[in-house]
Amino acid sequence: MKKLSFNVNGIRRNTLTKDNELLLDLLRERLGVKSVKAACWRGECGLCTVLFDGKPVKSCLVLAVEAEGREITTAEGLAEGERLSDIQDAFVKYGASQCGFCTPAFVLTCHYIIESGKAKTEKEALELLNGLICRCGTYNQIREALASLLSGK
Amino acid sequence: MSFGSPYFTLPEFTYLRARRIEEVLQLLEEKGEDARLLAGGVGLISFMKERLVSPSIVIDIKGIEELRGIKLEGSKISIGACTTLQEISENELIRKEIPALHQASGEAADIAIRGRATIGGNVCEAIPWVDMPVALLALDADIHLLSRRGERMLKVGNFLKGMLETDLRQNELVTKFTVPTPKRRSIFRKYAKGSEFAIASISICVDGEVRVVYGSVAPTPVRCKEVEQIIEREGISESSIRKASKVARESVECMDDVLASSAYRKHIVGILTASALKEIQR
Repeated sequence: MKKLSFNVNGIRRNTLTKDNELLLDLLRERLGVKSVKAACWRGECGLCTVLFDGKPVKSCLVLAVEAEGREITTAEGLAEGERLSDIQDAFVKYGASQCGFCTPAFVLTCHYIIESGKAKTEKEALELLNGLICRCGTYNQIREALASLLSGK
Repeated sequence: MSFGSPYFTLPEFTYLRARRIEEVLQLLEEKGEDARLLAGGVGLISFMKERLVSPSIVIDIKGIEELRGIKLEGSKISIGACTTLQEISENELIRKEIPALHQASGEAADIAIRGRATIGGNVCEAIPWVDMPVALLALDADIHLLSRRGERMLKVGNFLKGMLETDLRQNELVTKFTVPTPKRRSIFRKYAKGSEFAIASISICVDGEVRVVYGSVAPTPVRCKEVEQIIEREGISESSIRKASKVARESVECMDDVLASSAYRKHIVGILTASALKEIQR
């Protein structure tokens, strides 16, 4: 067991972790951060994505101990109280979710794309969404939601 | 890789965070096979889930500053083993001087993986379908290995032995890769669905010796001497491109696996050869 101290959505969390615990399990099962979804467990579907010091990582491929001193952001951390973030608003406006299971991962990754300014074109932005799977197939609506913020509409 | 269903938990191990290279070398010497190095974790954590490896000690080396970063060393560009693929793809020196490495790192997997996966891990796992080793082979890159007993350096092509097999010794740490320059006339291209493993990839370098390497077609990246000879002899022209594409299709041995059949891979190899040569000509 190791002592672990890190931030989740700006709140300091102090806990004990087993050396072999995955960040995914710690967040979802022990800290109750349920927007982090467990699906493929092998880094292929991207639905356990969280922002690790602001950058997307797949929490099924990260050890909990690696989060020591770091800042983790999940979908719960994007809204300010009742006020949704821009990308959350856009997802609502464009109907960019169906069952909703993949939505937190897509919202977080879109948030990162917009905030980081890494994509200069819509094509580049869409390439950054590679690696996330929506089993319902709402990709078009997600593209529209993301594009609406890139073009500043 | 055609893995079965993974376990949901990892085997038990002790996690250690290393701060100095010397510390890592000492642990490797003492623990041997019981110790595994953790950098980006993409490979190691997947392998542990599959119980392909069950180390008793996991040594996290990504915090060791000397193992990171990209710099010019004389006429070579050196890349620390723990440099992430994202860092490589965003580096100005690499973008300008080694286009093949810029492309291979920037198009690998997806953004969440690129931000974690390191060049050292990408090569040491020896997974047949990954991109970096293909470019490194075309670039004639060297891998630098360090142990308590000394240092050695070998060509990436000689380091990779087969599927999940390398020449890495149990007491060794990969410190860096070096690429001799100039390598401006180099390219990496692949055929893949989204962020999936490539069905086939190609990397060509025509600065100095011509090197043409194919990836994802065999357990390790393979050079194609027949295509290299055509380019050496005739340069890059419309007719040599046509010839090279046909020869590549005929002479590159391609494997059958869950991603694609051998025949389909050969078809893609021909197309990649023509399009990569056309692009490098510009």
